[in-house]
Amino acid sequence: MEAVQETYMIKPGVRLHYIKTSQFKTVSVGLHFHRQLTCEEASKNALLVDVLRRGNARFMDDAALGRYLQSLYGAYFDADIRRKGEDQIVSFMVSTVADHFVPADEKCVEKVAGLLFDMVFSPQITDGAFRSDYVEQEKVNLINDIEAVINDKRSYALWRLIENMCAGEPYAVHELGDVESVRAITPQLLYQHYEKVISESPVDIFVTGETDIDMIRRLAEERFYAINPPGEYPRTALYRPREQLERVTESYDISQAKLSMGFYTGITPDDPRYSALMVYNSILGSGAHSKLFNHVREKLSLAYYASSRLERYKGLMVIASGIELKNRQLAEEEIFAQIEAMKRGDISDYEFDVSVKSIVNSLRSLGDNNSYLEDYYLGQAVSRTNISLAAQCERIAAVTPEEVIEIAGLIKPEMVYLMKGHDRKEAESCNL
Amino acid sequence: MQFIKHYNETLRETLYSAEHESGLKVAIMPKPGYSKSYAIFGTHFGSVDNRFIAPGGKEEILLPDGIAHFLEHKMFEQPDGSNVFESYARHGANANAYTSFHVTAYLFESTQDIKENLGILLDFVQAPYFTDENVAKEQGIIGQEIGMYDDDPGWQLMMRFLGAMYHEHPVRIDIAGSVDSIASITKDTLYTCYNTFYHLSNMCLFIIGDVTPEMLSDCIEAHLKKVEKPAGDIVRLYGSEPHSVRESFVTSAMDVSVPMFMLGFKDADCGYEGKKLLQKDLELSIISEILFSKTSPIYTRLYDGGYILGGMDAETACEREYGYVVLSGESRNPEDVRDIIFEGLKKVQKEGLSSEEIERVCRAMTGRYIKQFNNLSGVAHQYMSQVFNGIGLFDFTEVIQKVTPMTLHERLTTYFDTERSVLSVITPR
Repeated sequence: MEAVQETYMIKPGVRLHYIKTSQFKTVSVGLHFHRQLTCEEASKNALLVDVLRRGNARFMDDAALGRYLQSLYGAYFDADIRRKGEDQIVSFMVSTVADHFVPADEKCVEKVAGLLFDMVFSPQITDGAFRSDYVEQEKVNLINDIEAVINDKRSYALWRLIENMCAGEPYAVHELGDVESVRAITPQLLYQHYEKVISESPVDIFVTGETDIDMIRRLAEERFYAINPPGEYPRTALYRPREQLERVTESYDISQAKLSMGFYTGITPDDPRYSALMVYNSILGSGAHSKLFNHVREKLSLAYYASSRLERYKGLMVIASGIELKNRQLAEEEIFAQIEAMKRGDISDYEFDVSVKSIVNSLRSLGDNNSYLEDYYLGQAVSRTNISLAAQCERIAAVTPEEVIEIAGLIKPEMVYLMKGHDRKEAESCNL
Repeated sequence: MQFIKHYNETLRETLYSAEHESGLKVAIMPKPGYSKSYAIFGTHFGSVDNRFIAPGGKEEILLPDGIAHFLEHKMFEQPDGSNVFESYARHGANANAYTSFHVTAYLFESTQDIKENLGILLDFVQAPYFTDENVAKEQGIIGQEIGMYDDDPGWQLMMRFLGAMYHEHPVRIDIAGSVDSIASITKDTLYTCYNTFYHLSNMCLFIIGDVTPEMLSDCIEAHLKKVEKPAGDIVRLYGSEPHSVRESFVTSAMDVSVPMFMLGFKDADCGYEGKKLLQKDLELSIISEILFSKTSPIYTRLYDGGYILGGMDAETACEREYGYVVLSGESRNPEDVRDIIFEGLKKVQKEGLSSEEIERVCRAMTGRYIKQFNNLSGVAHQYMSQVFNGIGLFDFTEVIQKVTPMTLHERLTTYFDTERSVLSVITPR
């Protein structure tokens, strides 16, 4: 069953989206502030989330906040940083059981929605600054998190590829920022930044479930009464292709080498060809039915894993693989061979059908999870597409093999990144 | 099959249950509005079932460690050489399987072709095909998997914890076994296990999502093999476990940046099933939340004092034959953490729990119980983990009413005995 999505304009920069569905036991509310991802403020946004999460003027610490959430039938509150392209989103969310599951006078949803706005708009402030003990503790935690990005070499090898491909662009800024910037933040500076975020960022509010939407609308109108944010979302600059394929090799303390490859697609979600690109990506490298899995991993045993994914807002596709260093040349050749096979139209009925089914299955499954559903529509807002889940499924089902082959002709290799063990010291970077 | 309808007012959910003539228990929960269906087919056979007497038999059979998990892998081998995952993929399903201490389960989820996918699930689990060659091949593959677990600090922390807590109970043995133990597995031992534990009367099928009993009843009947009822019950032998712990402190070094710890209390009051077991489980969850969650003085002291880094989790295990409550986290000095927890615990045991706090936590648990039914796979796993202990999905509502300040106080003072505690630590190399 398709959830109905309605959007109310509270004001030009504040949109309230109601995903109305009776399938969930809960009502959840999310509050999302959009910021242009930049080197200057990425760390401030990340730290802001961590500090605001610690409490507000009424519930001053974890214990007080936790007790209040318990009393509201085990309600949930959290905050995080997401990125969608070059849009860094500062998000706060709450959820609780819908009112018809609890005694009538409890008004859990109203209280929880009120708490959400309080966490954002009524923080603990003294002399124009956040609590310094919270700021200091969270700086330590954030620095730990940033330093831990390197630990998972599988994702780090992909991140280094993207950093190299998009060097100098906001796309290469990590959503947690960098250690130096975190160190420089003071409780005063963070508070100044906070004022800017709440007054100058386009806002999306999502309500998922079944509730009195007018009540939430009134709460939103009150809280945003004196705030007039701009209406335009941050934009992601499309990747600009290089003149020729570039290679980067780096050494880290690893035993299994990682081979990452970046490709230009030029297609973003607002492009009519985007659905065909999704099918292309699924056939090539997304799942156990894909060419990369079956040829590179299963048949030739050239990789421990090999998969592809879209960097959809940037117009890129990336391939990740874990290999024995000695197989590096063969693995790369085989990956390129699969890309060439797609161009030739070498796609079996099985590969095509299973890919379409697999995407449709994943999309439909999103609708069964309230936070995935919200994140899907948030993504639609960011890409200004506003395609419903059902419509997106129809688009995927309508893609033809010819359209996929046409996409295959557009895919252009841009960079090959190799992460290897420490046998040769210095990183090499050269053009071929 | 005759389905019986069960309705739960708190959840506003309906569950249909039936018993097939083979003895297979079937349960179906329709979730209107959901696109997905999730099916799980499980047997009451886990890693702890390593000594047993087969129905009607006299002889005690001792199995190699890790055989339940090995058998799970081998079930995907088909007599006609077909690939189960490929068959599922043609019908848009994602499939998986797992082996726990108590259960081996096979599952899929899909938003289409539910009957076809259910047919694939029922067919392949009822079609064992073991040969000397395919067993030998699997020994290599699982050997590598065991190597991965050996390098996983979280798993090693847990297995060392259980090894220190239990003298005899097989929960102390790794689910996957060891390279040596799986080397002794043959196709004959696999068939012995299969014939005993994969009898439909020892199994359960649960389906939740965009389904109804009317829709699936015929499909299920058509895919179940005709089997004779077993000659009796399987007698499971777990040894006689003393109340004491084997060792109260264990430590070893691995590749971690900060020491990890698990601190647990051993249950000395076992042997229950059904609602009595669930009541114990709920009481322990309530006490753990009051004592050890973010709202507690113990947690606040540990976190603000910098004794724990990044939080601490409390978990309860409540099985027929054994149980424990365990706290886990990261700390530069786990022994200090233990001392602070013991001190805080003694204080609460002396002063008792406040009724306001009990009421609040019960309310939170009720809300979370309701919320759990948002999540299809969560409900399916909950069903499978409790069904063989005689606990139903809807029993919570009745049992939570039986929990009182008196029963909680009794549980708090008898269960949490520092003499029956184990501290397991993994330190950086």
